[in-house]
Amino acid sequence: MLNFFKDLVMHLLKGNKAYYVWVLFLLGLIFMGVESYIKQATDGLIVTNMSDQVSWGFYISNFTFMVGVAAASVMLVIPSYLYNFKPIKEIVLFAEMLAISAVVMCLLLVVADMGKPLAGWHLLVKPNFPSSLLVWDVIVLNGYLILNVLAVTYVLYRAASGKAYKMSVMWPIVLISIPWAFSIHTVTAFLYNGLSSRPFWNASIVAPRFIASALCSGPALMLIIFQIARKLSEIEVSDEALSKIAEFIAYAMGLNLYLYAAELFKEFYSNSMHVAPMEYLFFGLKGHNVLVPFTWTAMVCNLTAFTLFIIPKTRKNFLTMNFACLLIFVGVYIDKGMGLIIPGFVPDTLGEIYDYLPSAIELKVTAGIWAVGALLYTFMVKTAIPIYKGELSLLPKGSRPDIRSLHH
Amino acid sequence: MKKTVIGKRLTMFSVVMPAVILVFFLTITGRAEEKPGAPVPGNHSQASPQAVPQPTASPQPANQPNVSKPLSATPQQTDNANAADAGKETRFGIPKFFTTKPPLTPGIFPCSQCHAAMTPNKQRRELGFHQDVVLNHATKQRWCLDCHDANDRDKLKLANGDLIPFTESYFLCGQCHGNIFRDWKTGIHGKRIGYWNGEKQYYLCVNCHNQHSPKFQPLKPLPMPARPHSGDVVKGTTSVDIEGKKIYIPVYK
Amino acid sequence: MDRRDFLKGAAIGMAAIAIPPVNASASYLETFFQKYYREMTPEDKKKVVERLEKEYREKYHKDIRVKTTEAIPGVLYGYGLDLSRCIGCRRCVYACVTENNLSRSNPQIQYITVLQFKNGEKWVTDLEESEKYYNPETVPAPDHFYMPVQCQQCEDPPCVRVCPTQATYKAEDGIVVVDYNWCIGCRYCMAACPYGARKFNWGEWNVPTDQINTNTHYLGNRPKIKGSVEKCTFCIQRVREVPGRYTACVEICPVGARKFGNLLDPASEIRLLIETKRVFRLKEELNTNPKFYYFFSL
Repeated sequence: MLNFFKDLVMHLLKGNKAYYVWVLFLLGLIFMGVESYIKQATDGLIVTNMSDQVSWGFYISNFTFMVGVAAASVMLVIPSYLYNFKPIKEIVLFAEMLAISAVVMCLLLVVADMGKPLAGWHLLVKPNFPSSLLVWDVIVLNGYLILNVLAVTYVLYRAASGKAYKMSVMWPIVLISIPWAFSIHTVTAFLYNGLSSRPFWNASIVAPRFIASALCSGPALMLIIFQIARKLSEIEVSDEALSKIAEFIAYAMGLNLYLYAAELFKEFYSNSMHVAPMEYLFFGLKGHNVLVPFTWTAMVCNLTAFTLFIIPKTRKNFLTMNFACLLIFVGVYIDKGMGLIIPGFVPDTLGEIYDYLPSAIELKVTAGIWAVGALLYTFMVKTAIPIYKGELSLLPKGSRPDIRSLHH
Repeated sequence: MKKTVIGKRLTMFSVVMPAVILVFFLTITGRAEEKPGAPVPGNHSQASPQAVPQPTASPQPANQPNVSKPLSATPQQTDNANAADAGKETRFGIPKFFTTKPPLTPGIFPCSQCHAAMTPNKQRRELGFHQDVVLNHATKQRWCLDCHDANDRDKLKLANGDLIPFTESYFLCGQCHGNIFRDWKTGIHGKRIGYWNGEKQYYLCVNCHNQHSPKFQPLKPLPMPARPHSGDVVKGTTSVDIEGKKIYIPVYK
Repeated sequence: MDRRDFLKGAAIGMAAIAIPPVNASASYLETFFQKYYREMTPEDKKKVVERLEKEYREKYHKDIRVKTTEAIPGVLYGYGLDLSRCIGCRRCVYACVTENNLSRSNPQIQYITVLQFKNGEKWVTDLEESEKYYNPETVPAPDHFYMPVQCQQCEDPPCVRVCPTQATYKAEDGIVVVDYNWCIGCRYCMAACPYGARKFNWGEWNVPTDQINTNTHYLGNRPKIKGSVEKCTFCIQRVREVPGRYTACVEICPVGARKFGNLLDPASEIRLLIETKRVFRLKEELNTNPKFYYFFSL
């Protein structure tokens, strides 16, 4: 066991130049984030651009987006485990690791947003359950984290022992994790959805749209990660698997756009007072239009990506597919991040319009948290790949496992 | 023929009346079951505050005239009515605590110091002495001696000829401004300071309104709030004195 | 900034997070592990108050009294505001700032927001046409009217519903209060409040020492904590007394537009005005059931 961890550290330290550059880059971002966070912790959240008018900003926007990414691993779990769809099964592990990184980022983002993170333990002592959706969110997110950590550890442990995992152990985890993935996103949606004070969020379509857009962004990120992993390691990910995922994204994006269209129709056609946040997003309100360019960028990205994914030719072409992935990522990031959170506060409950854009410190802290996620993911992949290749093993030295038995 | 019509009406009556009475009693008992004096909030069925069940104590909107009669017929409601009657005195009587004083121009009261030796002059004219008095209060119908007593200048005169001291000037104002007088007595109109559950100071009409020119004069507003993360930088604070209270206000750059 | 400076800064910063700015670390630990206010025994409360008063003395060189007065039985506070009378002079805003020791800058905190509307324009519900930053020479500005908004002390407060730690709750006398020490600063309540009544301590609490009101309540106007939420408490330090003073905003209003009293007392001015005037409550459609009544006397 000790030897295993020694080997693991050696593996994490070893790598080519690109690996070192990447890790150092991430460490640099983390350093910058920590420095900014220290400033924030010392001076207070006054260093952000948030205010009593727009009381949640960039942190919570990123949090919401990352919950989507975390939830999206379900996308890959369902077909692979339930239908024993071979090409995908091998790469579910990557998705679950992504979920772990994403949830960790979520938790960090929430902590970054808290005024008194050190008082966080109050949540455990006097949770306002079941009344507060935030308590629900804490429960489901941590539960999801534990589930995924369990699954990944088990699979890797078995692999390191030179054995394939037992379905009898994986089944219960999978059976729980599928509804659980939906729950983390639904609960997060309900967190906003349940506030009657914010008409922009108080629409019943919010939760379904959360799920639909998560089913786009998560897998889009996975597509890119798989290609990188495939290039950097000897892990096999078939083209067939990739195009299957791409197809899923196309459907998910179709649904997402449909739900969005339904929402836009309702707001703009009925043209009640509650159209104001939508107007702020798309056209600007009373001359305030900082979000308008972002909104239209997101629209163009999502529509283009949908077109590229729905046409088989462009879906199967790696250049256009990757481009579409990038577009989806950007589109959903805007749409489910700032595009969802900020209009909830604009105009505020007393009709004031406060133009919010993140401050430099918010950007740096968030970048640091993204870097933490990326680093965590890098290290997890860097652990998983040698295990699957048989280079990292719990077996006594010299005895190499039958690698083929690990693959399906 | 006629008889049948009457008969029909009677039948109808005999059917409808019990129903009306029944409904009526249900309403009453329903109301009685709610705690008397229970407040509006938290009670969804009573979300509209106008519907607070205080049937006899306050001038009711005229939409339930048929309710008030049978109410007193039931003993339960008689109690209620009595209780309300008892409260009426304090609710609409003249407030007890007065510590505010009428704003008499210092040095010239009692008025009789000068006026005792003068002959009353009811003529509308340019005043030789009280130039500071600008009458802007139903000017056409009114001149000094409509309110100030011609013979006893230290008193005010009501329309019925009764004389009242300056400290009770609200009786004079209340002659015309009946609604406001009523609201003032209950505390709805006007300013009160002191203790919400103890002794209060009631401002007299003339503490806030200039009796000769009662419309409120516009005021300079205190500073606006600072826009967050903007150029509205608070340089410091300064204080203003409002009715003897020190109030701190921001000074912006 | 060179690397050494950075590391030094980082070290100090870390220390700032981990160690209290106030010297006594025993006191810091006590603060950190301080119990939830509603679960404190009278002895606990006494201890906490003593610690707080000592801390304040060291910090501000002033004897600040922290009361823990309980709710008066049989009292449910209610508020009335006469929109026919309000002239938008903002006296109430600053009387409140003064009484309640609200931060003067970075951020400036004010519990009362006075909104200006143009006559005849749409105004209720979403308040979209409101102007908060009006600043004419004199008020009321011609063709305009005013509506001050503060905590509506809802009977079904959305802020309490969403608070993850129960740090904010509705007391027996209907006042929605915050245990500033128990609040974790997640600001969910601010998102949930339909009246913009909740204010966040984005920065360090700052009131010039000579301007501090030393008559304070634990749940009210004591010095606030960076990173926690605060709000109007109907001047809890004043009204929870027998006899208890009217709130600061009631006493300052030059036109007598503000009314306050016990909703359970049929002879109180708040009850009388509810019964005799046409009243409305802000955003009734949200069913928050405020105990803050706007009315028109004219």
